Amino acid sequence: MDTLLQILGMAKDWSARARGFAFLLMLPLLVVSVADWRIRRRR
Amino acid sequence: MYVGHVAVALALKTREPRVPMVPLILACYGPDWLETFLGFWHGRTEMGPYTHYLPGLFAGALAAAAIYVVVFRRPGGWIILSGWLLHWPADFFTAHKGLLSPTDTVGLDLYDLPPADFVLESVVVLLCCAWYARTFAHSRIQRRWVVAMATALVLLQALLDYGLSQYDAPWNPSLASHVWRPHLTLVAPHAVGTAARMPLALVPGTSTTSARWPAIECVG
Repeated sequence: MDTLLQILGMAKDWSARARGFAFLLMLPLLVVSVADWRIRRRR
Repeated sequence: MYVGHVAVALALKTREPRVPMVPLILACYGPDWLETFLGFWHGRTEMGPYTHYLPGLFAGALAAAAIYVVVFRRPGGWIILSGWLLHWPADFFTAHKGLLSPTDTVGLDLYDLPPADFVLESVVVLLCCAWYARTFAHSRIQRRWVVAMATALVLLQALLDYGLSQYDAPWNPSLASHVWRPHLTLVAPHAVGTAARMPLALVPGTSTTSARWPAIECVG
């Protein structure tokens, strides 16, 4: 539940909100990094 | 903007393939990462305006490009610089961002219009993925990975727009500060009083040129 609140940015502690925001920023980074690595490895 | 920033990274990657993808994506999300990093100590809401307004944006972009050139010792510093700077125009569509002052913000505020934001960011992602595929994905398996990547990014955007949307704020696009301020103040000459003229006077002034000068007592 606490993790969900962090992601939603609704955690009371601003440090927890920052962790939730960092998690959201990590998702597209992971998706594209893995896909790019797989695509360019097969060239 | 959320996944739209990563679409910018994919487009920039086609211009300079030697730039590694991870630092490129970090640069495209640079102001957000900086805001998050500073947020651990001072609060993200408080630091956000300073990482996203134009002076902060240019300072961050120059620092990131310099660090990239020094650490990686590879060509493509201008790509890192461009990725960081393009963060502002992308965010202009979805939120309110500062110009020369962190408090004077402009933007189209599409975050408060989730369907429009979803369509805009999905279209940007699909176009940039197609551009990326044309450059790097030549086999069928490579194109499948591009399709999987585009699908995952669109799903992430849908999660943000529809799953995590928590406010019912009204759509509030803004192209200027909501408080009107004059850039040049013109005052009719007859309206200028002594108080307005006094700061410009080199010597103790009189109300008008026809007024009598105060008596000066000569000593000696």
